[in-house]
Parts: sequence; C-alpha cells; structure tokens
Amino acid sequence: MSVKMRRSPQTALVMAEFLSDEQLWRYGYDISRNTGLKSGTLYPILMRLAEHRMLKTSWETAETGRPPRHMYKLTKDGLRYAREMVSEAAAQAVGEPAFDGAAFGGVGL
Amino acid sequence: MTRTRRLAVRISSGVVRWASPGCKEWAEGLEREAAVIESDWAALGWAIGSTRILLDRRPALLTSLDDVPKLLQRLVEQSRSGANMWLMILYGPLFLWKFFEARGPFAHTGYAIVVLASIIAGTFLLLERHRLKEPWKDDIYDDLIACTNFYKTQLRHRDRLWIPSVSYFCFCFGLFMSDHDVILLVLFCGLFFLFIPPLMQQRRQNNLRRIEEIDALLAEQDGVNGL
Repeated sequence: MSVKMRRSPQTALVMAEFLSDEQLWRYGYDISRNTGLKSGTLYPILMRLAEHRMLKTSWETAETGRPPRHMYKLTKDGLRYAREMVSEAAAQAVGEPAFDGAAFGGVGL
Repeated sequence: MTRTRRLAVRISSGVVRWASPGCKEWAEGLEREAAVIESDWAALGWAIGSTRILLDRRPALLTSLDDVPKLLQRLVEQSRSGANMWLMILYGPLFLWKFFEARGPFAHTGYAIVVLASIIAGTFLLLERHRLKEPWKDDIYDDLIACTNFYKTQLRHRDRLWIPSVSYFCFCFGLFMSDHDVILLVLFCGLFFLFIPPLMQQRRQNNLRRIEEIDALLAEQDGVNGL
C-alpha cells in the first residue's frame, strides 16, 4: 500500500493489546485504558490499521436501550504484522547481545 | 446530567456532525464510547481527544465502480474551473513594465518574482486547460473500465498541482515584496506554510487512497469474472 504505515511505539502498544487475546472484539475505550493512549492518539492508529486492511470493524448488535458500540479486531494480515512488530519492539527493548553463540561454534550463551 | 457530561456529549456530537465523510463511522464510534465512560471528566477528556479526527479530511469510501463516472465528472469540472486561472499569464507583461519602472533592489526583485511566477503558473494552467479538452469524450462514461482508468490517470496527474500552487505563492510573495509591505509578507508566508503544505499532503493521500480503492474493486471484479 502506498499510504505509509508508521511503526511507532504507540502502534506497537495497540498491536500488543490486540495480541493479548487475538479472537476477541475490542472496544476503543478498553484499548485506550489498557494502553494508556488518549482517544486522539488511538483512533488515528486504528484508522490507519483499517486502511491497510489489518483491522476489521463491526458494530455491536444492539442491546435494549443502549446504542451499539464500534468494535475492532485484527485481520490475518494484521495479526501477522502485529506479531512481527511486537517481537521487533521486544528485541529492541532487551537490546542486541554483544556477540552471539554462532560465532563460537553455535553454542548459545 | 452534569455540566461536564453535557459538554462532552456536545463535543462528541459536534465531531460526528463535522467529521469528513470518510471518518464519519469512526467519529460515531468515538461518540458511542464517550457515552459508556462512567467518569464525567474522563468522558470530557475522551471527547476533546476525539476532535483530532476533524483534521483528517477524507472522502467517503468507494464501494462500487458504478460511482466512478460521477466522481470523474466532478473531478474534471473542478480541474477545468481551476484551469481558467490561466489568465494570470497576462499579468506577466503587465508587471514586466512595472519591473523596469521600479526603484530599489527590493522592488526589482519583487516584480521579477511576480513576472516569473505568473508566466509559470499561467503556462501550466493553459496547458492543463488544453489537456482536459482533448481526450475528453462523453461516451467515456458508457465504458466503465475506460472511465475508471481515465479517472485514475486524472488522480495521478493531480500530484502536479504543486506547480501552480507554488507559483501562486511566489506571485503574492513578489507583490508584497515590491510594495515593501513586510508585515503582510510575513503574515502571508506564515499562513501559507501553516495551511497549504498539510492540505496538499492530505489531498495527495486521498488521491492515493482512491486509486487503491479502485484497484481493490477492479481486482475483486476480475476475481468474480474469473470464477
């Protein structure tokens, strides 16, 4: 897709939140509470993900007396991208090892 | 309902009303979430944050290729009326005369910029006007695929609109400069750089989005025909 997808730390947070239960449909406010992102930061991320066909949206089936809520879930592409992104973010957080075992006959340190 | 909650509701419904067609669904989603937040202050914070969506101006999602002829017609009409500004090419000779009469390097430079900018913008728009006349046939509307391809070409072509925009900026810049009007010059530059580059960027992204939507619909149609 030619419209750019930014790999920001906030996007990684949202992705990690979706990965915590891949099959669950999420509400915007729940994602915001769990990630600590404000609505003005969260929704542009969700919109970008949907634009890249990584996020499915749906309206909750209406309960009596309450308007339906908008729900979100990652698509297959979204899940793949999320796993990749979260593992990358984790690797960066831990930091690269000074040298790996492969240089010493494949022995993991 | 407390005053804080009322304000939150008012902001959220304002966001839904003023959101661009492509963001309407998201604005409604934000509004519904604000309604389920228990704390009034948290709801207000949520509603204030949701106003950011107003900055994103995108057209409604294209759901069918049948809408393309209508969109194309609107785009061509817009481009044709914009191209009528080619008349600014006539300012070139007019200000050239002023350039020779001007005193001082500031005024000279200002008029030189005006002359160059009006010639560049006018020539571009004149060519654009000619280009839009030529391949245009009304029967293109009857052939959906030809119409769709023509629409995509037009959308790609709109990336080049930065040329008259920058020329128009230079034209006004030169005018203020030749008048030694420093306050207006600074004000104009500030407003221009504040609004025009983001608007151009958004327009460009919307065009790219539209092209991608069309490609996806074409691929879908090919898939259906292939079955």
